[in-house]
Amino acid sequence: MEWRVTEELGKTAVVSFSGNINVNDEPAVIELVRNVLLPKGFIFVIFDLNDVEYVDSAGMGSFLAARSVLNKISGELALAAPSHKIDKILSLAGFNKIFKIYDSVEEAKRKVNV
Amino acid sequence: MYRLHVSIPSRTSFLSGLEAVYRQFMSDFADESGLCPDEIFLAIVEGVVNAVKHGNAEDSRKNVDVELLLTEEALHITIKDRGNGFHPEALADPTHPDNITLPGGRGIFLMRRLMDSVEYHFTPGMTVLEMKIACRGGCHGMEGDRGAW
Repeated sequence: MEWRVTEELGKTAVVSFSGNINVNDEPAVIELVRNVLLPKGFIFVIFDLNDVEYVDSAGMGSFLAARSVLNKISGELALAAPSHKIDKILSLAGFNKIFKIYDSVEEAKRKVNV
Repeated sequence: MYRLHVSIPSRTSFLSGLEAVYRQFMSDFADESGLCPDEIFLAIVEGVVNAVKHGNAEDSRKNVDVELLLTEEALHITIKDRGNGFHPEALADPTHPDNITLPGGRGIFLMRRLMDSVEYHFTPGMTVLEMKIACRGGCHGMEGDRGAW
């Protein structure tokens, strides 16, 4: 897994991921939110999943942990631009019921608090 | 019939190597099988991670064995660890409102949704996971529409 912060808009940051998000990446996702984004004041975070190949159950768990960190300070984590297969696996796990999942980063930026 | 056997120490860092070998096997032998390599690999990852973390308790002196057997009819996947088993029937539905925000508990659920059959067999000191998916049956959802989703 690789990530980079691609946009910074007020209190909102867009983070673009590529590769696989699996059990080996779980700590890095949480540290990204806790140690990189929060110290800079980003409490509304959009994960751009456009270039992600697959997310396993541990990767999904890392999304939940990141969401929990942000929710505790009245922030929010949204997911954006998943491929068809990633969208399906997120829905299968019920993530469409607890996460805001947007078709594109642009749509997410319009709807997530800026 | 084509067979792949990989044995890895109980470390999840070996997943990337396992993926490379798996992709090569599927590319060389399963290209016209109608199988869906991405969703099958996700099921394998879930099974291997469970074997590494829960079965072998991340003791890298214990290996996890992964075997793929591809026939005209189906792909059979066997994953073995040296653990003492668990009670799969006791696992809660991770999509239930009471469980949906829990960080874990999705691995076996995903395997069951992605594969045609998922069975665990336990003997003292050995847990065997057997999964099967039929060739030319389409995909369960990630890469097509098999109707299960």
